[in-house]
Amino acid sequence: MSAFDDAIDALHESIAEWNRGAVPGTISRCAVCFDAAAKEGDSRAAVGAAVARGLAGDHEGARRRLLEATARWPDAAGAYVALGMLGLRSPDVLAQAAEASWALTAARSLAPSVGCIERSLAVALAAQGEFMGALQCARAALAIDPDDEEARLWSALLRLYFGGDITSASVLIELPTEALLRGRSTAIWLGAVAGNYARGEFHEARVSLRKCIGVFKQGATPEKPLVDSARRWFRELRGFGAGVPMTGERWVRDVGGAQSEYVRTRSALSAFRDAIVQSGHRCPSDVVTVLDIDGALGAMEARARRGMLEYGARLMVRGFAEAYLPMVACLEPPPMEMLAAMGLVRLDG
Amino acid sequence: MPWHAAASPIEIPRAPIDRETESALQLGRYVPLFGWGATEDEARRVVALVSRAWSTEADPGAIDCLSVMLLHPTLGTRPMAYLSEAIQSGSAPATWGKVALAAAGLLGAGDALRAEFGEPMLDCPALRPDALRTVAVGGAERYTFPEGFARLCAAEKELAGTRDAEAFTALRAWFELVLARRWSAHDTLREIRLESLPAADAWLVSAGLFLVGDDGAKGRMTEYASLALEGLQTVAPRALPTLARELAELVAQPWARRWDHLRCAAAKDHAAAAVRAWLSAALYETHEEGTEHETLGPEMTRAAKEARALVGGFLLDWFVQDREARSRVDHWAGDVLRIYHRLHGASMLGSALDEVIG
Repeated sequence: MSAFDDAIDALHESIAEWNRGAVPGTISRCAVCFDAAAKEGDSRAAVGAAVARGLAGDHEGARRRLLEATARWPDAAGAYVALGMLGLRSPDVLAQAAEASWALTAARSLAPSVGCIERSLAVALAAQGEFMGALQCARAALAIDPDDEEARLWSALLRLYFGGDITSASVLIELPTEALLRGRSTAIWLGAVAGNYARGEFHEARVSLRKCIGVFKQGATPEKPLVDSARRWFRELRGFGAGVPMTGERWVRDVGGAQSEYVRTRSALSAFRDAIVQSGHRCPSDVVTVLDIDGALGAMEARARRGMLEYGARLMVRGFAEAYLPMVACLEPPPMEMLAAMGLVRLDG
Repeated sequence: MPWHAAASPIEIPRAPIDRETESALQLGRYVPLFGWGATEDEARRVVALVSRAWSTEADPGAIDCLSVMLLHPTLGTRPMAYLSEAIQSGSAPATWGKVALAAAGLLGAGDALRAEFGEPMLDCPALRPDALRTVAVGGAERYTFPEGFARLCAAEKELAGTRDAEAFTALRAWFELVLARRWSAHDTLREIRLESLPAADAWLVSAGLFLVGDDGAKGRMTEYASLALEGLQTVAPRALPTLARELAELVAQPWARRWDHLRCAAAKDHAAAAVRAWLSAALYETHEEGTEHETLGPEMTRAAKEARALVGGFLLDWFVQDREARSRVDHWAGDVLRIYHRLHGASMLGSALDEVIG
């Protein structure tokens, strides 16, 4: 058996034994075997060696190796996929999101119509704050595989916070039950927290949060940041409130209250409108007309609504990525389809 | 003999401006203000120069020529630095510094030149408020309004509790209302008692209120401009008609200016206020989902910190997307600030005249 095959076996063994991280002995053996195979000039082995180091916690070393691999084999998608995947598994995922998006966009160009690449790109773009692009990628991933629960999660989140579509909350609530049956970790309950809260089901949202973070030991140092991050996001979710911006009773609070700049600018425009009407011909019509003011009022409201959804997504979707992705990286090994996209599977028929 | 004959004719701009004067100015063959040192004669010479430039028989370009003489290409700001040291050591009265600052304002020096000229005077405690006005109230020249605003905020904080505090609050609020289109500043300006402010500051506040259509603001502008120019009629007779013309241009199109200002206000990023509202609501959310975890500190998520960093700045409120309206309001604000410095210079010079020329 070749060194590459040994390495693949060790990698798969490591994934099978995954327990909040790779087993150190197995993943070290995997890295050594990949190193040996990489000496023969195999690009997949070079990627594998970097991935093994990344899974062992050496993110910077893995990143350096992968950047070298992309320079050496620019036409191979594997290194780009690995760079994107490790970026999204990094502890500071928001800082790595731009590089992950870049790498996954390159991977998608080299290997189009691969569901896991589209889905990862959706996640990376959402973490970066490019919500429209993220939504398009999530939809592309769902077109390839309608049962992809991760793509459904991100698509629903983006529709809820960026699109202002409250109906997507039900998707977020129903998702964990299905996903757990398919072997996903309890981290997926964090999506249900968003869905419950958006629908005003505050008790259910708390229950979902407990289900999400309940697997972690209380006060355990390595896991405490993951728990705190989820709790912080939940606190901000409570500040954001139920529903979507500028609807129903939220309107005045969302624009900053009755004395906000928005409300006062509207009042000033209305006062100006009245002054023009009363002035008769003293205000020349080539300067401003009542119609101009009505147009300005309409445009201001439309811009404020759109902007508020954008800010809401910045706060809630990016915050979700910050809390959810490190939790997934801890509880779940990389999916097998991602390893296949990197060429880290044995092709023995 | 007229009192302004104290100035040697060689050192002042001639009327009419000839080629010899122009080349002398270009080559630096002139003595800048206070270039002969911090002496009484020099203070009188500065007044004489200003008076000659604003006299009825002066060449229209004399004011620009004298503006060049504020600084010297070789000496730079050294004459002003020496004057500042002399005032600090007590060997020169603060009035001479006032005369220098007044000259820069009255001549309508641009932001950069005025700031460079006034900078050394910041070290004189007696002149600091006036020097701060000279240095910090500006931004129209290179559209550095946010920088001017930041300096004004710092000045307001520094002068809190002094008798100039209210004036600097008014200046800061003027920037906020006119350039950042913040209505809370409108309330501040309306609450300020104009009688308690120096005439130029009160004029600036009235100009801000004129822009947003307050009743009677135009009349108050005229009133405070006359007050600021009081006492200067005999020294600089041409100042009054010149400023009257500039003031008339400023108030010529009230509907158009108000509409431009409102367009800018409507084009602001009003959604940004939501982030602050959501995050401050989040901080009040103390009820935890259970008691099994330690209490969370006030630290926010990185996403929240980054979203909050995007909002609330002067730059965000000033630099709105409606470029056409913003540019017109900026130009108007620039004109207002130039007149403000003229009026402030005029009232400073008016108050210093008795002491300098007796």
